[in-house]
Amino acid sequence: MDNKILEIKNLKALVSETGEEILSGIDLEIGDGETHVIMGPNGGGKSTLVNVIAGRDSYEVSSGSIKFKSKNLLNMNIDERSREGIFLAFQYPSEIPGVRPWQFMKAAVDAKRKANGDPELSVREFSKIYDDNLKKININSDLMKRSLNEGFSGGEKKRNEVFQMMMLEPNLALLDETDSGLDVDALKAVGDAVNNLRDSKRSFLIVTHYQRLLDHIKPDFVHILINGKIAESGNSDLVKKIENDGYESFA
Amino acid sequence: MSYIDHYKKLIEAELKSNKNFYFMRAVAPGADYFIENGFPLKKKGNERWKYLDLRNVTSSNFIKSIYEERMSTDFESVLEKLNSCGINIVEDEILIVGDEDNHLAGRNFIEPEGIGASSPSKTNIGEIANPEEDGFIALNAAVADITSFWIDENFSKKALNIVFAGQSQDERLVTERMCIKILKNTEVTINEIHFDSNFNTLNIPVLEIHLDKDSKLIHNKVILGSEKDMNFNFTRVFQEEGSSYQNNSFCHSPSIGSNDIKVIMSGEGSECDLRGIYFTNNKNQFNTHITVDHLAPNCKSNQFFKGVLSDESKAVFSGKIFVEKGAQKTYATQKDLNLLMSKGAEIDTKPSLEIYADDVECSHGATAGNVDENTLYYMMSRGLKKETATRMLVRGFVDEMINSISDDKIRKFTSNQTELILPNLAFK
Repeated sequence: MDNKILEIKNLKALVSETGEEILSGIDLEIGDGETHVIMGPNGGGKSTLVNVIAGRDSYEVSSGSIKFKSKNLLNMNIDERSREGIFLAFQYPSEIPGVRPWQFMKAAVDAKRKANGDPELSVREFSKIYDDNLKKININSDLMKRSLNEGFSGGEKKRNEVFQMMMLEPNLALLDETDSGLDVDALKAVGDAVNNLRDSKRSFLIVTHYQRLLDHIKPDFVHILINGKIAESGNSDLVKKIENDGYESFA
Repeated sequence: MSYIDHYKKLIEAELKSNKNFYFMRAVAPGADYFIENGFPLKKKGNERWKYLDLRNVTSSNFIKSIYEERMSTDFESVLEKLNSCGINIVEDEILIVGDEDNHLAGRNFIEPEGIGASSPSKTNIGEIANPEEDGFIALNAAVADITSFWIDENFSKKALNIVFAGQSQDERLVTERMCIKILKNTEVTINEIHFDSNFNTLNIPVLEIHLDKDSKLIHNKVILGSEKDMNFNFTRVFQEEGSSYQNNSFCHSPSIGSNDIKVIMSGEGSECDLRGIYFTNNKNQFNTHITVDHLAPNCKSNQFFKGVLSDESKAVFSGKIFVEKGAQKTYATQKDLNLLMSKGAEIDTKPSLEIYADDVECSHGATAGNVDENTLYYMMSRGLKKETATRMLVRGFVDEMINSISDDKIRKFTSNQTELILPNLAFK
């Protein structure tokens, strides 16, 4: 039997401050080990969807439900969701003065381990995993001596997001336009990293504007999100249709 | 009896004791000014103090602390606190202020090679810190306990720790005055550390520092205030040609007080770099008042301060850059960034530039904000609890300042102190 890691039913969400509805009834199921891609025009609600799943509180869920590993996700705080196994690679990662990437990741990894009842990693154990992953994603270790994301180029920030994903080993990774602003080499590195992480226990929900990421990552499903609703779902053939006809044909 | 009458008696008693005979040229103007003007309580036209409520300063008739009281119960614990970050009396030069009348030969301090007491007749007290500049400085001048010494090349590359060990009695006035001359080509570090014990005391320490040609001073200043004490701390620096002055201030607010620094850049090609962090909490009020006077050409100055404010505390930052007509090619910058941890906290940040030269480059900027919600979201999305994330953010904000302290022991000391201070700040 197929296990669903994420089940979204009739999800409606609005911007807390203005009351403007962004998601107008989303239904989406993601099975264990599946990779889903969400495409769609600007303002369609792609980013909102992944941020609502991650728990951002500037959005308010007005109706519907989200279950993650059969648990009600909407009852959990942002940090609980993360420790439960959700990871969001940000479109615009924050720069945090004075906070070192190593220290930040150590705290994050330990928080997750603690929640799972595992002991904290020793500095040596952690450093080994840290250094190995840095090499895999090809981030210069000098860069990581700076404050987190400070003075990082756009591409370096995105690589760092993927690096954090590798460190936290989520069950569901949400990638919010991780490919935008990347040169070809960085795009390939991100694609390779995602492919390396793909296994039966890990699912992906990838928001993108560009078909070129899909040259590296072959999705199982593609959804088109327009006006806060999924207008169409299919396999990667859908991407070709978008290229030929644009989003207008789905509206 | 007004509070001024009280201090008038105190000043007259001091003058009678003739202790300050050699220093009359500073004492007399200080006495006159204070008796006429008192503390700077009037709000009107009083730029330095207008945001603070100084009335508490007059709520007690403080009497001068004496040596026997000053040998506070805390002496050993002070050494212990310093020891925890590596400062100890075996390896380091520690001058415990108030230890004995002659500070430079106290029981814990034997004049090391390269440091010597100035003879009273050669002491330039009051020449850099003008007693008529401010009521606090005036009172200090009028009844000061004076220590005056020079440091020369034989002490280069070393650090002198000056420790103000705190008071052990209520209603005491502490008016230390230090006149320090850094001689030509000398490079030293001075760590000035104030442990304010939790008594109702009025501390007005004044340091006058003269930097000779091509000398370099790194001055780390730590003020650890308490809920009861008041600490109005003044540093006055005079720079000669090619000299360099660096100040790193680390201040945890007393009930009310200030870190007041003025640098007079008198010699061409001199540089000063003033940095600091201030923490305020409860209902404390703390003033950071910085003035840099560019009097000579080709000088470079930098002011960079940060504040972390919580509860219903209030902080003031007023930074002034003054550029004299002939001080061409001046390069001066100023920045003040504040993190407001709670709704009741208040910051008044006030940059001021007064420029009479036409070929200069000056900049200033100030911010005040809460903990950034986007950043918190980002950190929490990695599994960190809100409180952990907030503390890490504040720590990061503070660390940028602490990390620029070059003295390893003081960096460690201030880092440890930050860990002690942060839990007392309300992150709500």
